Amino acid sequence: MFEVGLIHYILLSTALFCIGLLSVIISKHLIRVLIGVEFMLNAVNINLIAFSNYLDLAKLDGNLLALFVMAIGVCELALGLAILILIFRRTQSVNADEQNSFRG
Amino acid sequence: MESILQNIWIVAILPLWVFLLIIFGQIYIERMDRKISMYLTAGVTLVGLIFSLVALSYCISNPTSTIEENALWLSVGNLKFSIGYLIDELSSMMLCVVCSVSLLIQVYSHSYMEKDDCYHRFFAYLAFFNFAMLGLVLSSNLFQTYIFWELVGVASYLLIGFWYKKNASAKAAQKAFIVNRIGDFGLLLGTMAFLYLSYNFWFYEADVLLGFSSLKPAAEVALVSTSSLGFLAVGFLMFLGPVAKSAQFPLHIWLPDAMEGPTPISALIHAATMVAAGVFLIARLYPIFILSPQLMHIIAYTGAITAVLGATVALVQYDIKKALAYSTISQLGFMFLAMGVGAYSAGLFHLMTHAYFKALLFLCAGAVIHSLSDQQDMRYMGGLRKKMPIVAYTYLVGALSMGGVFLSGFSSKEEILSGILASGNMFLFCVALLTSGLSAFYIFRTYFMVFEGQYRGSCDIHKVSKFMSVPLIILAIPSAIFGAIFAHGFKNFISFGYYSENNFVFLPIISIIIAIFSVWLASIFYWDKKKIIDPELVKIPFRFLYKFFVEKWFIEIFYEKIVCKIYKKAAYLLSKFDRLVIDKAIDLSAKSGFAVGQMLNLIQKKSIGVYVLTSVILLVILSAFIISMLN
Repeated sequence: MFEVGLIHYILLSTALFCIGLLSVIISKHLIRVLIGVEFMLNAVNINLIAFSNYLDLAKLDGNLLALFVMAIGVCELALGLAILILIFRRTQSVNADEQNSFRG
Repeated sequence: MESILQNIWIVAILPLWVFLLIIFGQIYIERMDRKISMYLTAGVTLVGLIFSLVALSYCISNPTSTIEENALWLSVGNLKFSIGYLIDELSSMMLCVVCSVSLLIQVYSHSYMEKDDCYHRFFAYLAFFNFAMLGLVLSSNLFQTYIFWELVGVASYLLIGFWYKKNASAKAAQKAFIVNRIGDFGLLLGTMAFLYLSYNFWFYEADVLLGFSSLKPAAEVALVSTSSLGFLAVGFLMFLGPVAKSAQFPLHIWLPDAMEGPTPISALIHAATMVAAGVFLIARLYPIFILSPQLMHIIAYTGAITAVLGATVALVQYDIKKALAYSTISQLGFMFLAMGVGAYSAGLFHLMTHAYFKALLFLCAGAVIHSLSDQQDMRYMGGLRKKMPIVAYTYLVGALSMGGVFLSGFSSKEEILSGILASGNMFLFCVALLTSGLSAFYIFRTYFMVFEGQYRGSCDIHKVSKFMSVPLIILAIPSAIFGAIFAHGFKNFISFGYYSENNFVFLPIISIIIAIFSVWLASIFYWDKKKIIDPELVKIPFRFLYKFFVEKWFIEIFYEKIVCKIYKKAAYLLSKFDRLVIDKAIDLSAKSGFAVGQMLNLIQKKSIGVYVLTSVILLVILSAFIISMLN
């Protein structure tokens, strides 16, 4: 019988993290970059809950912390989208490589 | 009385205050009355003169007692530098001479500079010079002396180049400064070497580092701690300072050029006070110099060579100021000669009388030049006695004194001659006799050319103002009588250890006969009324000698053609070295920094994705590293 263990959760979260990282690195569109960031955040969250479930049975510290992380993730996404809209208004473009006005 | 002696430093500080006042308040003074500058400067000098007279009277009434006060100025490790004042016979005498001469010259300068645009700057510089000179005289230790020594040089530089728009002035100022640098550097090296040799003494037994009042035991310590040759080298380096400042033989070339400055400056700085600072410093350092007989010989022979050189070159000068400048060089050489043979008080006595009569001669020359609209060539003067009798008669007093015919100059020269005779060096004695005869000849040559005979010039003669003639009359008094008054007292007042009395009765008679003979000789050459021989005819058989004197013993040409050339070559090579080696090395370090920046720039030029990838890769490496450390 296929037994689901800690290692599978970790594999899942690693896969999700890598997909998110890849999305951040290679995509040109800023919204894809944001989605990639969310992927990475959620991968970390899964990791957190898995460890909490398998190693810290009695207390629910890890689960509680995951709720906080989700709330912060939503806030971050809202902020990121707001910045993205401002960038779009200013430059009329959502291409990540064209946003080079900070370069010295 | 007591409070004046305790606050004698005011004498030096007040001129500094006036200097700052004039420099910063020029616009306000100009709005009120320009004379205020002169009144301020002369006023503080008068205060200084009163203070110095009090100090002098204290020193006369309390012989061998000194007043000294020092304050710690800065301490570096074990070295503790003090700043303070020292009142003894020497400094009180110098204070009186400097203050009295500069007071008269400041009053005189008013009418000399009245039409000049830079009237205030002139008086500001004069006040600054007074500050430096009086600080030099009052200083209680060698370091302080060195500081003021340099300040005096700066004042001299500023005043020689007072008309800096004239090319000759600017060049002369630079020349004076550079030549003086050589001597000052020698003095600095010598001071440091002396401090090094006698450091144990200063550290354990004296509270004022290099203080003059304990120089004698320190010199003995230094003499023991090294070989006699090493001590000679140290003393010689210190002696270089006075050589440059007092325009002695190898470094005398700056003084004649310094005559480019205004004439009152030539009188004050380049005849009466600053150039005498060299003799003053020798007197201060006498405890060191006297321990090395070879060094005393060097001083004496330097003085003798300079005396002959100055006197012979003065014979052939046509520019009145140049002639007087060379005579100053010659007289300073006389003082050095006296110091070198051990006639300490005679040298200083000559310093005092020379300050008065040479200032008088220069001021007379200035009055003549001023009233002839800046004509300095004596060939275009003549017959001026009827036009400006006061100037002519005061000049005559100065000339008699300078030539050693009866007046002050006679007494002081006589002292020097007897000092040389007492030392037993007949060669130097003959040189001194010859020089004193020459000096009588050339000074009367100028007198006859300027004031007697027919007027040979073409320009109009202006009147001499009261501000000019009054200082001349006042200066004529000390030039005439100081010698007779102080001849005996001075020896007892200022002396150094032994004084060998000389009782050669014929000496005054010989010297006066030589002086009068020289005056007669000058009169048959240059006095139109009694002219027997035309000087032009004498030039022909002696034309090689004449050429030698006109070219100033070929020393300037030697410097120009050889020393300057070698120096320029060396400077060129060094600049090449600088550009090819040092600059290149610095360029290399700059370029390597640039290259690192370029390399870093390569990373930064990519897109955001690359940044993220780089940081993730670095993060992975870092965490792998940490994990491996934990295991």
